[in-house]
Amino acid sequence: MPDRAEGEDNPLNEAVDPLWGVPFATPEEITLTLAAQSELRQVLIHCLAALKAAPKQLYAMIQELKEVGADEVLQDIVHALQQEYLASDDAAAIAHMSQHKDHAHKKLRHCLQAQSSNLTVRVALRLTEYGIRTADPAGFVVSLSDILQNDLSAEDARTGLKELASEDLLDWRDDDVVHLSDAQMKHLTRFYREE
Amino acid sequence: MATNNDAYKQLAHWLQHIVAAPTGASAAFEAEDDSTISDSEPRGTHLGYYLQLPAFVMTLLRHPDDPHALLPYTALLYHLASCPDCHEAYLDLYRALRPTLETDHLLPPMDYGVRSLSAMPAESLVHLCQSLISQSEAVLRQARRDNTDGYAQARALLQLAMRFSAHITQPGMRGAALTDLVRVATLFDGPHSPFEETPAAHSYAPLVGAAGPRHGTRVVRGAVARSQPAPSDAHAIYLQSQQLEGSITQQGDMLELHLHDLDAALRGRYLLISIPLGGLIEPVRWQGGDPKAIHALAPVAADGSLHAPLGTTELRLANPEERNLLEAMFLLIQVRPAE
Repeated sequence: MPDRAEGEDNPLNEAVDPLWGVPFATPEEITLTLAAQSELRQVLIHCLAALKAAPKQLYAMIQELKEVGADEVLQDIVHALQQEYLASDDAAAIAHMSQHKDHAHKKLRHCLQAQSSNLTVRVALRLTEYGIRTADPAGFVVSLSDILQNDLSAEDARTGLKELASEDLLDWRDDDVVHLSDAQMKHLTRFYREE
Repeated sequence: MATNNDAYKQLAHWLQHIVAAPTGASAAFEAEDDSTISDSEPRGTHLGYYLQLPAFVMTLLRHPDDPHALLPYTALLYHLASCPDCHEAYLDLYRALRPTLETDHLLPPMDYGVRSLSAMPAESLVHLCQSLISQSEAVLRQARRDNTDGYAQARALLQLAMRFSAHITQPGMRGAALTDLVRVATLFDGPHSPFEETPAAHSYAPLVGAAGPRHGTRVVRGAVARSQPAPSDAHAIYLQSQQLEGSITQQGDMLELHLHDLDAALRGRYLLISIPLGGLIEPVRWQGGDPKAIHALAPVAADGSLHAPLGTTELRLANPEERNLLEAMFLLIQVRPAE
């Protein structure tokens, strides 16, 4: 699977099993693709951001990423998560760090394998792609038909929109048009559209 | 963002740690929120992932260099990284689909060094065929719910199931692999012609080895024995409809249907022959052009026999795999009076 990673040398080239020529021949190759491909990383970012309801768990995950040296790829987003969801005194207040990690791991494991996470990210990406600026009300508007494409059914799109609405990332009440404020679009772009 | 490869590898390593099965339960601990995430979720729901495998593999084969194509499958990828069983199923499916698509000239040949289909365990092929048919049904039902056209995708999956099944040498296993083929292939079929609104006089199915007749009738021992033909008449597909028997033979390129002991009411009458799966794959040029409405050229004889040319093909009943493919196509043959 060439050209899926940033950087001059694609680490995925080393991961392809030379004997079988089958992509994703090992779990290591799968996670390397998920780490190296920016679009695929958005699901991880979504799942990390979903820990905002439990700041200690979010803090525990950020700390763990730093401890194992895995935060470089996510530098900007880690900074954004800290800025947006963590208070400065969270670090001092945390006891039982290992338990917070365990609980966060469970949530991440669940979130990463959930189709709804995938749909949420794909819909959020499309909103940032197809949003048209409007003056009244100020913000952006996206037609539901713009979100639908061959690989995203109406049901899938609605599932993603409901999830984003439930997280207060947009206001949507099963309409055929999605309205986003400037702040909402800024947030979606920040967390779902890694440059 | 300039990122070195080690950084990706470290993040990948951490992801593996995250998705791996937990080694032990946490000590009693009150979490800071009231969420309850069980480790059995979603790891317990393998079927949903499993059903995505054929479409995922097809995407990999047809769009190997398109990173966007992977986006709908991130949940599946995370699951495959964590579940050895599903990962093994994925590898089997990829290794099976690759040569099948090459055979169909849908992919360039490649020296991929994988096992050939005939070397795959029959159980795996049965499993794959059932999975493909099940996936096809899911596609059809989803398309119906969404009011979209899923026919082409569903048809492609059924074609693959038929082609895989042709490589299963044990007749009983082949029958098991295609158990649901007719039902799914005709799931939302309405009558295609006024003739089809008339109930079929007889519905024939191949005698697939010890599996026997398929439509709820008892196994006729003699008939099953005839399904293992002697070398002299090995190149035939034997059919049964309750107590009636028939066969399909080949003369040159022409496939011919032979039915025996048809009831008195049909004798002297012309019959319309319908092969509902005849349009699924297209190696046969059907008599009259429509496999669901083949007009027998001669009436049923006074002794109740009917001999009718069905169509021409380059496939050969003498070739075991081609015979198996034809047998899959003839899983259901219906006859009814033409007038």
